[in-house]
Amino acid sequence: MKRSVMDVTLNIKPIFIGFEHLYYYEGPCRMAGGDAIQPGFDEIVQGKMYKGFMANIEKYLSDEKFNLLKPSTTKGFDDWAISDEMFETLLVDECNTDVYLVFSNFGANTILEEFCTRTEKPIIMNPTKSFAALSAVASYGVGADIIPCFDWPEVVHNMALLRAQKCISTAKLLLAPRFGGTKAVAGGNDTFNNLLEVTEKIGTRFRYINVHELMDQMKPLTEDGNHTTPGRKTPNITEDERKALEKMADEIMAGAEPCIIDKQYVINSLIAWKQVQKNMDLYDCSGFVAPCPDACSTRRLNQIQFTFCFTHSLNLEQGFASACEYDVTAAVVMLLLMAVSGKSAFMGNTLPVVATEGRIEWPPHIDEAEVPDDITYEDAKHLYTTLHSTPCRHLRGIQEAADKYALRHFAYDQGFGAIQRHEFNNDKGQIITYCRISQDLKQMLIGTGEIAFGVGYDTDNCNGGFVFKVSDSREVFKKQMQFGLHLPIVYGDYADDLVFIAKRMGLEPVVDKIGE
Amino acid sequence: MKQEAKKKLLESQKMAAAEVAAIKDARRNGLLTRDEVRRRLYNYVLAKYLLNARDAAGTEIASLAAQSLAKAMRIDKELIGNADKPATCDGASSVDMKQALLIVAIQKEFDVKLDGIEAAFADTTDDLADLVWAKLC
Repeated sequence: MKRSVMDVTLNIKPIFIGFEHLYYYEGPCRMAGGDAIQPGFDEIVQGKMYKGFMANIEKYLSDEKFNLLKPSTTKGFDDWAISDEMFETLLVDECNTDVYLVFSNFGANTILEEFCTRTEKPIIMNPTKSFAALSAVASYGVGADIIPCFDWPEVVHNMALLRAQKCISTAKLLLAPRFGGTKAVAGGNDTFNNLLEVTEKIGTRFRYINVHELMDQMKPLTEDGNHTTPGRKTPNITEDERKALEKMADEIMAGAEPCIIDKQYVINSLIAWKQVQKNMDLYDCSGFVAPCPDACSTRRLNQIQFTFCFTHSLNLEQGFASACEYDVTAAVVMLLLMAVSGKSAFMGNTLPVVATEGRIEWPPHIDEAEVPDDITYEDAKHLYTTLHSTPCRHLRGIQEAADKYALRHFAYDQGFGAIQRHEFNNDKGQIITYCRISQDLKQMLIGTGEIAFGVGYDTDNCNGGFVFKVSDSREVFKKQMQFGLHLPIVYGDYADDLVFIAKRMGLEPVVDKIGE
Repeated sequence: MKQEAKKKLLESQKMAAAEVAAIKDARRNGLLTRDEVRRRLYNYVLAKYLLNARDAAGTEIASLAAQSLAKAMRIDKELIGNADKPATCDGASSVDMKQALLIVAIQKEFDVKLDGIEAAFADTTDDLADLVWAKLC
């Protein structure tokens, strides 16, 4: 089954480790007197602590994005005995657990230490006024994955980030190559060098469908099968599906402001999207990567009269990654950005505005007529551009109301290839976060900017996007040169969150924040 | 002033003991009911916490414990959380400790052995009374 970033839940396993004194005695580790140091008293106090722990979990972690597993408890005594049974109890859900949330009482340190080193899953300690969080330091020192959290809001935040990491570490992406599976011949050649290493380091896995087979599926299956898979039953578009897409085309066209494309071409693009979705569903995928130039040069896009642009827009608005030009890196990063933010991502050719020798050089496809008159030479030193036809209606939130949009066409002459346009001029001042992972999986570029003005709303082809302010375009460019052309973007400032995740994935964050 | 406090303490102890005795008598005579245990245990808790029924804020044990502490410390009940420092290395508060001591006292005086965790999870005096009732009936 296909899986959007919105479908992923984090499995949280609460653990409570108690500690009780078996006898009455006083000394340097007993902090009370009377009934409070009699056998049995500790159990009641621990019960109160456990109750408070569970109440906080209920209060802070009751969210559909979190799946709370049944808590496991054990307790130690002042004879310091440890048994395997304790850990069998605590680790009973190890396979289903994504993160342990642990409350360990003073005195149970040795049990906590061994528990932490018996699992490779991350551990977050109960943060409330307790020595327990710091008692996990011993385990951290021997390699346990302890995530420090100062208070409950930070527990919630870090849980959300772990969920985001899970979104990509357990994701499968559908790749549709024409030639090799790792890189296209033309297009996003700055993508990952080695997809096996991606799986090893980040976790994302890859599924494949040859782009010719995918395109063959865009017409109803005949008894003979498709040209590329004769006699084989394949999930081609059906007449019923086509009818449903015709209705969908009517609705999408009616909502567009303006709609400048013929219905037949919208349907063609919707069929491509539907087939991508069906194949994602077959292969349990969370995203799709199209080999735009490699596919274009087959001349079959021209023959069938479609492009994959609209596939990207529709995928992205549902929280599925969808990348152009066989840019696998962009797809992984878009998935991450959407998982962190809950907003649809955008990817484009991202280039600096070059202010040099007293003149401003705007990147190709920027119509200078759209540039505001008050942009100065000094302003231009802090401007960047990003352009493509992958915007969607949910840049402000996948579950938020859809934004207004235009529908146009990619092909200038023949008018095919549905593309969506977003009026970025309505979002001036919006803070954005851009991100990309290096080809060699060693670094993650993380930056923030601010939308200055939109471009290309009234144009066809691959020209929609915006100009955004950065700290210093020369500096950002030098950093970008280590990463690649496409810098996926999401609305909002998620730089610190991405730094957190980058470090967890063993990537060195390369950060460039506007205003710093 | 000291004499008055001592007198009040003794009175409370007598009242608590009377509730215990009443429950034990009723049990001996086969007249004990769940409602009776609930009613008398509530009175018992008020006596233990030096509260009277008129001022007591409901049946929630934590709230009664906080009210009792506030009264003893002569501050507003709502400020107890600020004034109260953890009483153990685990971070248990004085309110937690007061409730735990109450449960220990109930076990001793009613001659019952309650499950510590179960008793700690009791929210109200009725919940606690039901645990006692389950042991007595």
